[in-house]
Amino acid sequence: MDTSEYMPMFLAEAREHLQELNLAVVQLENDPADRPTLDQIFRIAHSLKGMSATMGFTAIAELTHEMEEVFELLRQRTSGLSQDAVDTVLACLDALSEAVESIEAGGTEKLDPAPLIERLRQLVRSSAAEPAVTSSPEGSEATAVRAALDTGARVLHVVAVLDDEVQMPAVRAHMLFAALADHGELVSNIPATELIESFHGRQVEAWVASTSDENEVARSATRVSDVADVTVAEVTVDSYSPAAAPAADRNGAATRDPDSGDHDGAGDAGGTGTQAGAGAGSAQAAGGASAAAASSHNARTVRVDAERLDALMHLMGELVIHRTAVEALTVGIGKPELHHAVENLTRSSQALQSMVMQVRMIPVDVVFLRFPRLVRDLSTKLGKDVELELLGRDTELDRTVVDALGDPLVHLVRNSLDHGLEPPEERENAGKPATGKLTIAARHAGGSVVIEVRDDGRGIDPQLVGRKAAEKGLLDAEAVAGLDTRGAIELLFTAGFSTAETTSDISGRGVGMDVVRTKIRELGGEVVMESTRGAGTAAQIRLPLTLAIVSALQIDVAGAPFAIPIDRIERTIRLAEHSVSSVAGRRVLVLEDGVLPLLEGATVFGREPTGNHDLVVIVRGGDRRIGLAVDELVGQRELVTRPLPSIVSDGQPVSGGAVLADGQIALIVDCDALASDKNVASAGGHPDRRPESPPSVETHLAAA
Amino acid sequence: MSEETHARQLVVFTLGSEQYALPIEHVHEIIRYYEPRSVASQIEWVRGVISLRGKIVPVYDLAARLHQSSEPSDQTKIVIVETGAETAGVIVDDVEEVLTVEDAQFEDVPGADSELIDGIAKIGERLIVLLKPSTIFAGLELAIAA
Repeated sequence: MDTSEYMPMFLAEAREHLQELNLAVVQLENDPADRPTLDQIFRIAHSLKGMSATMGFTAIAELTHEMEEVFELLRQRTSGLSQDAVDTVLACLDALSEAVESIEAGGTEKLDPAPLIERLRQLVRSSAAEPAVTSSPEGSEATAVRAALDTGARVLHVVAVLDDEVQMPAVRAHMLFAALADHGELVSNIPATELIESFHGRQVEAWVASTSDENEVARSATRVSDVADVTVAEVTVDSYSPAAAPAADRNGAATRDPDSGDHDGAGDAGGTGTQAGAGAGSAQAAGGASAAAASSHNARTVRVDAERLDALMHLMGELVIHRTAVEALTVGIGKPELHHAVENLTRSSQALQSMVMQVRMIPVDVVFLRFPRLVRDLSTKLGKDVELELLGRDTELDRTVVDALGDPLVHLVRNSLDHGLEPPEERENAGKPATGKLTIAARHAGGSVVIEVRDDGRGIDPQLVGRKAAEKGLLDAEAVAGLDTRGAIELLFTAGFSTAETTSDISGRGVGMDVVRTKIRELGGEVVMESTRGAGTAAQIRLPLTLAIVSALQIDVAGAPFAIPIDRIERTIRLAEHSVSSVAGRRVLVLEDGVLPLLEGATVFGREPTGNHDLVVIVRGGDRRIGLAVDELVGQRELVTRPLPSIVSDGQPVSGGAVLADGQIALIVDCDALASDKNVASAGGHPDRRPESPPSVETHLAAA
Repeated sequence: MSEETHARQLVVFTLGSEQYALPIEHVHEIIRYYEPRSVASQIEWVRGVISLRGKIVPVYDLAARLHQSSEPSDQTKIVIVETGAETAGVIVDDVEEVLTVEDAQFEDVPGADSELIDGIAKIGERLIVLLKPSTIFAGLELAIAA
């Protein structure tokens, strides 16, 4: 069987499984009695094992199998996981993640499971001494079957022959036992449970204590892939003699006697005696049941290649362009039927558009999943007590946005843990609860999604930041004293500044907040930070819900079309109705609720100024507002954004282009770049350096 | 194809009084000229952007780059050139023909000062300047710095 075509799916699912496992293990550490989570872990580990075995990644399968043993142990106890056990399991998950990455990179699993398996076995061994665990593995299947018969149970002997072409007989044996466990307790099985992984034979045998009809049992066994033939017979006390059992050895060439398990190490067998085998059987039954539930769920969901979704989006964009073109062409044609038809076209295409958007939406939880583990690891390493709260996990946003959000968020979380939250003593001294609180919250706000990382830590110390900046030569020593929190935050975002000690492996990865900001801005979003000394810091990422289609106000600046994303526009005003003043040679707009820089559109976008600019759009960008004087407000448009060649967008506050209904190209205004200090300083420049002086504006001021 | 010399297919066009050519494999298509949407660029030969089936493509004034003068006429075309990941349009006065030229017919440019030019072919009375598609997009940093 060529498995290469399943590789992308394997990788995607393996990653998903590992992430879920990470999450579940951390959750279990917090609440050891959480039975559903434990069952979930078992189920995920089991399917991870199955699929990696199917793909021929034996090291992964081997390790997950061993992990399953540990989880099995947990299921039998209520005392919860020891710290050691959690660390070991998490170490295994890390190794598995690395193995999956190496598979993607080079096609082979770079994993040496032996040391980890040894650690896992150590766990099993140390806990084998506990009373809750199983009895000793004395019994071969013969005694087990006899014992079952002695209790008066009806025992079925199932012999399944696997197809000659079977790729992973071990996996099939597993599946077979799981299927049989649906019918009752597995009294015994060949290969024995602890030997399944090394099973390479073609014949699988099991004894099931069941009241099910033989045919029914045979049917469920046949349903397992690669099972060629199944015979089911009831075992009677008379017909069953201990001599019948070794018959299995004849058939399964590689089937070893269960007793040989002892050679692998007594400890190993200690965890998996006959009773444990039965336990595993029923556990697999539970797994099988949920797998069945999962597969019926799968029938309603389809995995689609992300590239196809992108292509769909792209085509949708074309359709929107063509539709608006048709709409524009029909204006003024006095044919009611045509207008009716166009209206229908518009309606359907809008419905289609929103559907395509929805298809691309995935819950932000996909990004959040990694944080419980990350926070656990970091807080342990840093010796801090941290409670993580995730809010708005089902907030949906565009897949491309979700994909790009991971790294910036990880950085913010690392920052909070590393610099924000204090160690327990320091918190108590400050009169705060010893456990720090980190909240990651997502919510929709208009056409944007806002994701906030908030901690109740010590907050930003402007002096500390200032001194660091001075050390790096970003700031004059004198300027440090006058630095306020806002200024300090601006410094944090400066390239080349990172408060992280270079030695720290927490946030000091050579990545600073400037990279976070750059990344978020690339996505058409913004990141702002606020902090209160002693009370905490909050970083807020605001992103458009979708990157591909924006609702924008089309404006005209000096004869050329531009578009400003609607969610960045506060309002539009007439200059004549407000007063304009000059501060340090720069024009400012004086509104009831504040004084904002006033920029001339033509100057900002490097065009020859024309006509009067009575209209001003108040735009939010970065963490300030600015006024942008424009020639004309054309109207609201749904625009399909396209990247601009860097050679033409270089240095201008534009983030992309969009083709309008008439074929013209509108440039999409990058509001953050527009409102940046650099831009406001240069474009808002001194009146005498500007191409046109604004005497009319001064008159307004005089009038006001 | 596999004769002793290699032949190249070239798209030949005029700029002012001179003839230029680009390898046909780099010419994506040729469209009728229309005024590109102007953008403020620090580079004088960046004329703006056009939309090519929804994609936004920069348009360069090749004449200005080669120190020729030309005015848009009815014959003016935009040649869409592709190199690797990049696509751009260059404005030409008119597209003449597609010519097959033997490699041997090319000579180095006398005093080869231009990094835009790959070679010159003399065909009959005509002198055809072969351009390097890669440099139509390259040297931007140079151009900006200049």
